[in-house]
Amino acid sequence: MEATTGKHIKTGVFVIVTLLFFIVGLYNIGGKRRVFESTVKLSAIFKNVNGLLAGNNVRFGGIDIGTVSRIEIISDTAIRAEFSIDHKSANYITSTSIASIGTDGLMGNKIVNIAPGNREGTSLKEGGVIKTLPLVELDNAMRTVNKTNDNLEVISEDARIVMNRISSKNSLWSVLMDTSVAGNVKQALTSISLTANNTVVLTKNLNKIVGGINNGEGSIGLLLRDTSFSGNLQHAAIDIRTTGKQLAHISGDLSEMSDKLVRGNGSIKTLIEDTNLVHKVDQAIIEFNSGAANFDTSMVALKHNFLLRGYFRRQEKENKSSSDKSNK
Amino acid sequence: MENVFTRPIRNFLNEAGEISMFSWRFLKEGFKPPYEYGELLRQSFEIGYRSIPLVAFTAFIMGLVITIQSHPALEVFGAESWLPSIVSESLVREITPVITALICAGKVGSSIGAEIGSMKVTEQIDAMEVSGTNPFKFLVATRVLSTTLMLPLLVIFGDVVALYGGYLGVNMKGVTSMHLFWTQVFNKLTFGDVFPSVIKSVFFGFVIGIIGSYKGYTTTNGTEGVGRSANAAVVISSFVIFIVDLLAAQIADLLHLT
Repeated sequence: MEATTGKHIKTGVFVIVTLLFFIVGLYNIGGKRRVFESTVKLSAIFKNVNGLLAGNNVRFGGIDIGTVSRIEIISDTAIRAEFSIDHKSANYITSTSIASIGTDGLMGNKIVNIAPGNREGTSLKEGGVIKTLPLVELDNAMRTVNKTNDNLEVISEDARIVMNRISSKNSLWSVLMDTSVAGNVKQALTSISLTANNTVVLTKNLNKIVGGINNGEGSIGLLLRDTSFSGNLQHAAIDIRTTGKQLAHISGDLSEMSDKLVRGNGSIKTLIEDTNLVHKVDQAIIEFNSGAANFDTSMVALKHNFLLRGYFRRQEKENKSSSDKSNK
Repeated sequence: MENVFTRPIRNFLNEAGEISMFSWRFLKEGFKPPYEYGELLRQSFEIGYRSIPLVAFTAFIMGLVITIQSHPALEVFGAESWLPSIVSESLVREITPVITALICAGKVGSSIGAEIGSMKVTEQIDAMEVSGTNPFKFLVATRVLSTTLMLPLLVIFGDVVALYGGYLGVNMKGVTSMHLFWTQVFNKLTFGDVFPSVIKSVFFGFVIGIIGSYKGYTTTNGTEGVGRSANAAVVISSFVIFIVDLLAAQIADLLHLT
């Protein structure tokens, strides 16, 4: 009897545990499908649903908020898809929200993506219609991708040619790969830096000079800034011109005079041209010096003469007294 | 010449008709009082509880193997993250119900066939009739009901174990948390995956029970016949399980449950 009861208990535990697994599983599946939650029915009208089925997920901002509950054709160009949206999430769907049909991944199921609207929109109520966006079909997308691939092929070919040119000998690449270039560039940069420093100093000095010139300092400043200088310069130019004229006149007179000297018979011509005259003059000067020495001797003799001695003494005294006065 | 081709067909049709009649008899007598609760519970223990280790081990291995086998194919597309959803769908929809049914057909179907067959050849069934006990209700109805009730439970239990095996398989090639794995599983699974699976496992259980009981109940030729009945119960049950599976898939497709 106990053995039978034990078997019954074990069977009962097995049944209950398994049923619990089943119920929990169903609850989870139902929870994901919002079977046990209150939902709001919203809809959207598309031109093409591209294989959207009842049961496909509806996403808002990437989160599953509901499922497609029904799809029906309402006209030859309009298909109405009805959604069961979670009650709480439905509050965020406004009159400006936009629904579009996409794919879950590249090969996944169709999904309805609802993009949030702006703040001006009002929350949609039961039966509300969401605005739609034209479907992005995979074929069109693939065509675009194909075109992009073609462009990429051309770009990559060009890039290959450019890279070949860069990596060839005597090209920019060889310059870049030359290790000495770095040292040269570094040195050049140092030189440039020094030059820049010098340039700064030079610029400062130039500024100072230009400032001085602007203030009228120095000759150039005076030249540029002194307004009376131009007048003086003008006067000077006039004076130079006048002087030039006078000089021209004088040179004309001199020329005439020299002509007269050369061609005339005056004493100056004789002085210039007569070579014996110089010897004569020299002789005369020698004789004159000799005569002067004799005259000095005669004068000394006269000073010692008793007749004239008094006269000379008086003269010495007068000279002495006049020099004392001047010293005082 | 005519017998070589017609006899198997005639035998097959004859057996199909007899099994149908036997099933009809079960439906007619099985749900009428008096009910054999004690025997039903005993059979449920024998068929359900005692099959747990075998079913769990098989389901675990299947979950693990399917995940490991699917990984390279998905890796080519960089879709390893789909592994939990794809594996769970495969396991819940098809693999666990069919494998569990085949395991039970081998273990339970053969034991029912052999047990009832040996009772038949030893005239215990006749003795029960003489003693006023309805052998059909006591032996057949209880076993068929037990297999019909226990197999869906074994399948659900097998699903859980197989999915756990799948979780371990996913983590052998990468790192996926238990929470993420089960979230992905329940994101993918729908009632359309679970209910057809459970419903068809009810039919699998019924097939195992009714064919095992029929083969045992119609056993002839002594102990040799018992062995043949046990063997035939397994073979025919397995064959019919696949036919039921095919029909279930077609019906689920018609009802847009795929």
